Amino acid sequence: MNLLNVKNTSSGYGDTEILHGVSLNVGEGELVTVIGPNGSGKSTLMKTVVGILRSTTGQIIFRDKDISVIPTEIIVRNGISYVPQANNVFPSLSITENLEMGAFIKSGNPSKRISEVLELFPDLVDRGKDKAKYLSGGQRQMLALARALMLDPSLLLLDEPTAGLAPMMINAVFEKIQLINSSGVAILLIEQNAREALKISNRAYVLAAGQNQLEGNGEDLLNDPEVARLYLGGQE
Amino acid sequence: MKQTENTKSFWNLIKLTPVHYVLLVALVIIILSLLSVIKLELVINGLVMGSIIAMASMGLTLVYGNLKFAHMAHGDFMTLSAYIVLFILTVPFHYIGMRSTGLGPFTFGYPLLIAIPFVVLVTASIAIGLDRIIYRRLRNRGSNSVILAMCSLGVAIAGRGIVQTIWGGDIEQFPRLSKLYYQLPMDVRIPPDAIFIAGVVLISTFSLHLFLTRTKMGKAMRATADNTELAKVTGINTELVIRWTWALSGGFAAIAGVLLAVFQAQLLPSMGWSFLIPLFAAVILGGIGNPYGAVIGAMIVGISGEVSTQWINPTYKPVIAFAILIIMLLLRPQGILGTRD
Repeated sequence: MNLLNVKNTSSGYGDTEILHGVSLNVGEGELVTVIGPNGSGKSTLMKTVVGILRSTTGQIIFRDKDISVIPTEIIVRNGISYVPQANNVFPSLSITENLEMGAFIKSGNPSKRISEVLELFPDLVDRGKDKAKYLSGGQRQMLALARALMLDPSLLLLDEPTAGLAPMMINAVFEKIQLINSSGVAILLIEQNAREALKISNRAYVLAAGQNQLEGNGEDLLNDPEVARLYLGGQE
Repeated sequence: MKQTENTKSFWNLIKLTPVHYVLLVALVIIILSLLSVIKLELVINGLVMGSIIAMASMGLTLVYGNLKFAHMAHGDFMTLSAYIVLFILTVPFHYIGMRSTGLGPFTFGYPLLIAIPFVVLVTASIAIGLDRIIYRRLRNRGSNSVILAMCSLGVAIAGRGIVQTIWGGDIEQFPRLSKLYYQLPMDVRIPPDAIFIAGVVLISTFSLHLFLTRTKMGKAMRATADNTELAKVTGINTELVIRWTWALSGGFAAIAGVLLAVFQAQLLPSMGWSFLIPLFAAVILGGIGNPYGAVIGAMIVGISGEVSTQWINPTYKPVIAFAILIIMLLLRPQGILGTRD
């Protein structure tokens, strides 16, 4: 059964339409990647799913419910967590406070969930009181992932989680993504490191000029010479 | 990785906390007073004035932090609340025979202590109401910060107009009974009211600190000030955060207005408006959006304004606030506790 079903959705900024009738779906526990050149509308797609941008046509169905008209905060409440590409932690808040904010909509003490989530991110365990602004790029990305997991989401939207990171950190982030996915959380991933992303994905979509171009399972797209030439940097 | 660690510990070493700044400024002032360069009494007066500025500027900076606009009607919240208290003391309380003056060593009476919580609630409600009726509409329409600031200027003028219509444009005397000043060494005289003012501001500042660091809503308020869009996608109810921000900001402005009325012993429809420059100077000095910075900024503005009267005509006091504002914007636009990013 599909968890998320984006049907023929158009959206953009103000009068500028960037997505022109994009469709995609994510099943329960699936890891789905969206690749495509800069400006193809990948981030716009994610912002539209989470309600930061509003779709002008089409429907976005999450668990049989049209979420294209409801406020972001309710979408989050329904079980979708989103990690933006940049500025994805609260810099003046401590690591613990960042995680507490991740659980804002839940009542009660979040400390149990914080320790559960931190088991995935041992680097952050002893730094609870450090402000997020003193973390390195990779650590910030880890904190952003941890924050997004605080709500125990059924779908995680990740917008280029490895952008600007050192190669070692990139691998670490991919490992975490796989680990999170193996715990049953469905993931919709946007990636510039398309090869690595396709390797770990169940399925993938290629987006260009705000429209669907191709879709298939990760391995197939990785081995498709056309995809390799156009979107994976020309290597066979 | 190692380099990052080194850089971090280096910054931790030279990172000055608000406490360091306060101690540093206090040390300079004590040395200057001991050398008889400045009169200690003026410093004490400055601390009282700084406390009142701090009270109001904490609210102003919170609004800036969460809503990203300069709220020009903040001074008029102060005016309005001072007049509301004047009304409460001189009409209903007077009618039922409550004495509005002479509680212990203070010039005012115990009814003021009953009136303050009441006026805090009223002004907080007015602030929330204004946001509902005016600012929120503009925000939802995507208006930029200049439009919002200009709109608040309109609200400020309207607010002053309402005060003038009801109470007239003349000076109103705040009910008071003259009391003896405390005589301290080094020729320092402190009016007992000053102790009350400082006490109220200290308690309020500490409460705000506890609220921002210990409560879920306080942390959400800081998170929203950091990054509103991220706060929304984290599930934080940012509209609720904004309501809390207005409530705190209005409440703090109300207390500041009443304390100013007690300190100056008289009320003018323009009293809050003319307070706006010191308020903004304090907010910018401390680092826009940072309530702790605002307190430090307020003390600097308050003390330097009062101490300046030792050499220049008191009429020019606002010039000092202006000068501090300009110098700070030129030298360190992000303020004492502000960060460039």
